[in-house]
Amino acid sequence: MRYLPAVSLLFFASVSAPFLSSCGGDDDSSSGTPTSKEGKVGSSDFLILSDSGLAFSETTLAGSGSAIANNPLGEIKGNKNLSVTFTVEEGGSLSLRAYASKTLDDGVALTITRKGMLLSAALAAGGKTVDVSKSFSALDASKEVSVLVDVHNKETPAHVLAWKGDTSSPSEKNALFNSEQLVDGESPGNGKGTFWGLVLSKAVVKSAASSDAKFDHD
Amino acid sequence: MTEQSFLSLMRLFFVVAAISFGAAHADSGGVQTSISVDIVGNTFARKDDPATKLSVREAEVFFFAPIDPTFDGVLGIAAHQEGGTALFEIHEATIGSTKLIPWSRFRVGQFFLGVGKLNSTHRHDWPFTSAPRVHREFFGEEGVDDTGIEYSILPPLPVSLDLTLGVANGWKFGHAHNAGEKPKTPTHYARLVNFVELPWNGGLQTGLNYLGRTDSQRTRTSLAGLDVTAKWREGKTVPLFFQGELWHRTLATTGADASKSLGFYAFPQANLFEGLDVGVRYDGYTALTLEDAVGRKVKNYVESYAPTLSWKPSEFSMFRIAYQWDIERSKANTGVTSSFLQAQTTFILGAHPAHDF
Repeated sequence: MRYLPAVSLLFFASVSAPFLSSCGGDDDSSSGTPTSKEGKVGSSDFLILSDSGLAFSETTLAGSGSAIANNPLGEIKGNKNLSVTFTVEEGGSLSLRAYASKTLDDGVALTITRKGMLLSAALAAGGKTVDVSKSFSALDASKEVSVLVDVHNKETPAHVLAWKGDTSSPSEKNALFNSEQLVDGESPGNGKGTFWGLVLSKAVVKSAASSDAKFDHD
Repeated sequence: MTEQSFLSLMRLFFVVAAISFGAAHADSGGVQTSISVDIVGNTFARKDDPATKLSVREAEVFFFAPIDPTFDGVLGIAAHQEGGTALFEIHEATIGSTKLIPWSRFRVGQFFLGVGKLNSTHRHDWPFTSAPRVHREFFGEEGVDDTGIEYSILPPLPVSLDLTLGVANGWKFGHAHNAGEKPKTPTHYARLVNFVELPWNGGLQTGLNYLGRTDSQRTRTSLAGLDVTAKWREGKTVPLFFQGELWHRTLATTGADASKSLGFYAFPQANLFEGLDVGVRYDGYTALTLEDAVGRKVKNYVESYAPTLSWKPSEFSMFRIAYQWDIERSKANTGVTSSFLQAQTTFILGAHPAHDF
């Protein structure tokens, strides 16, 4: 055991060396095949998964169906922000999926549905769904809607916050919705994947992007 | 007055009363009080970044004393910034003993889990200001504390081997403001530490670490890590210092491929003059199993450089300035994603509990 420090140092150096020299783990080899259903929403690359009349038009996505963002969120236990700007027809909806599987299942889903001039909303994860319509009642459903959504999947259950898209300094105080304010046991679970995407029903998405979480506890 | 405001006031009252009690008894040879304050200012290169400000990152009050001839007690209360408001919470509350079992020590209660180097060190005692990426990803901005039991043994062997075993509730892992959910397997961990003396009055501490947990959603977390700390001393000064950690994490969920990631940091530091140290931290982090929506490997690597200048007039005060560059090297984005200047000062009033090596 007297050699433990030396062995450990050698191990540390040998594992660190690839990082320093060539960014280990940066294998960019392509094993998949690009598909003709790939397109852009805003500046993000998307891939249409199911198509009931869903189509890319320059940098918008319109119709009904589902599309997955090409770049994953990172890791399952992560904290990310999703921003989306969209319009939705009467009776239509947009479902934002985070930390989902490649089929956009098993994730945290925030589904916003138009009912006349109002929006209703539901948050679902881990088999549980909670109605959060009250938080989105101030938004005008007939106009373009822009929201920022933080999904902190590191926490159990996932901590979800939503703000209006033009909020400059997002915090718990100015959030439209904060899942920590749900009563105990009501908050849905966690996402089990690394992907994010959109499920549209009679909707037009003008921009959709992922970034680091806007709200940080510390 | 809202319920939250009332609770905050009650907490503040409790803290002030506790400080007064501690101060009143500190001189009687009983309870010792240690108050530490950590003030951090960030200036981001992006002028519109809302995080550009000076704030009290943490204010901590610690009381520690023998309870009786066998047991020791610790209570630590800390205030953190939460959305612009300082909220007090229990950091540590333990009963423990170094006398009950030969060569052993244990503690029961709430504490920062004794695994890894940074996680078992209070943040105001870190040799740098910000948390390395790997620590933020795996343990959070500060660290993982929980309520449980921890047992350590340093048997009388020819070599120094200090083994720590612990188990904690595991309802939550890292920073959260809810109760969490009952895990399928509680958080459990082990740390084996070796210490050897080095030539020229140096010492090397090496730790091998493991931590496991299965949360309520059946996501199994396995962490394996190595930490290395080396110091050379000349009287009260440390001319050369090194600290580094390497961690690998596996996240496994039912019905999905395991997600694996690897990260490390290395921080060498040299003493320029008495009390003035200069160092640089290099971090690296990559998700090893990341794929895009069509199954292509996703290039991803995040690195940070943080040169650091620290001035320690005494063990009770410290002033530090650091500049950090975060650089992303991925298919979607390559370049500096964030750069910021950090200024930090910490001070300690009262007693200062003994440090780990």
